[in-house]
Amino acid sequence: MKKSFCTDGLTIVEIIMTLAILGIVICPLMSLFVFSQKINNESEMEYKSILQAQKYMEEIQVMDKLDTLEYPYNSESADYERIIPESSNNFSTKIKIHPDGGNMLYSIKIVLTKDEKVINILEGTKIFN
Amino acid sequence: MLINEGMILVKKYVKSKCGSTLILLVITIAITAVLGASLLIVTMMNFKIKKANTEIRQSFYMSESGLNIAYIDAYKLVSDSIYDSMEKAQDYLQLYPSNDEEAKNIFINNYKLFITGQINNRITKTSNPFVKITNVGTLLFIIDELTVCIHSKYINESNIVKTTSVNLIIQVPDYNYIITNLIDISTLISLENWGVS
Repeated sequence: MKKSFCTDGLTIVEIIMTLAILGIVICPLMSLFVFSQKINNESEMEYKSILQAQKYMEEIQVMDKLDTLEYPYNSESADYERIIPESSNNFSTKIKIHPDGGNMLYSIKIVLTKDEKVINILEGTKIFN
Repeated sequence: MLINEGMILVKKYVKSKCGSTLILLVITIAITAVLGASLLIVTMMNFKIKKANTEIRQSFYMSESGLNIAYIDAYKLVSDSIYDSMEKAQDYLQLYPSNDEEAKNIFINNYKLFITGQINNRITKTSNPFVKITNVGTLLFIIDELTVCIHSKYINESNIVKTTSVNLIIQVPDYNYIITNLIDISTLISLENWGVS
């Protein structure tokens, strides 16, 4: 019986074609994995930052009186401020306690940043008699 | 006949192993794509959960702010009530200077009426956080003590609702302390039974 076409060298042609197709297809596929990793890092940062913000918020909530040594008064912004640098934590934290119109209510704002990018903000109030 | 010939051709092709690398490639790409897609779905879900967790915590503190504002409003109401009742008692004493006991009764009754009459208007807020009194129908001083059940509801941009509640206890001040200006209003108001839902 006569052969329809010569099959010598078919394997190498197949391998080259396979590698070429794989090279084209693998790029978008790999971006899926890279994107997943990016989102994973972001969720980790989101979780850690809110935990840290809540820690500082609860520290303020349990205070009987406003600790002016830890939260010194800033006459320019007319509020009590505390800045915790990034070196001691994962995030740089800025806490502002603002006296609300002369009564006992103080508004609290905790801003967490990393590389000058705001990661999370936690706001609340506290009554100091 | 035709079917039999076809079957023979397929068997020949399968046996020859020609193009098997391409089939293997298709399978590999399919598996990688499925893995990548599932990983992305799981990661996205995880991120959404963490984001929702953050928003719930933020909403909780905002909802709690509503209760703090209610406390401040109650504080101002008690202060106004003492001032108003004191004026009424003083007016009575100008007419009947020796009747101290009656002046005291006038003070206490006016204080109770002033607070029960105005507390709902003063505390209820229709803004966000939404603050309301849940026991409006039963606002009565029992043994010189009024219990006000306050609910504060905060709804954030993603429609996450957080409700906190507290019982605000308002007491009747001692008339003798009032006339000597020795009263601290914060001792007349206390917060009990904090709750989250």
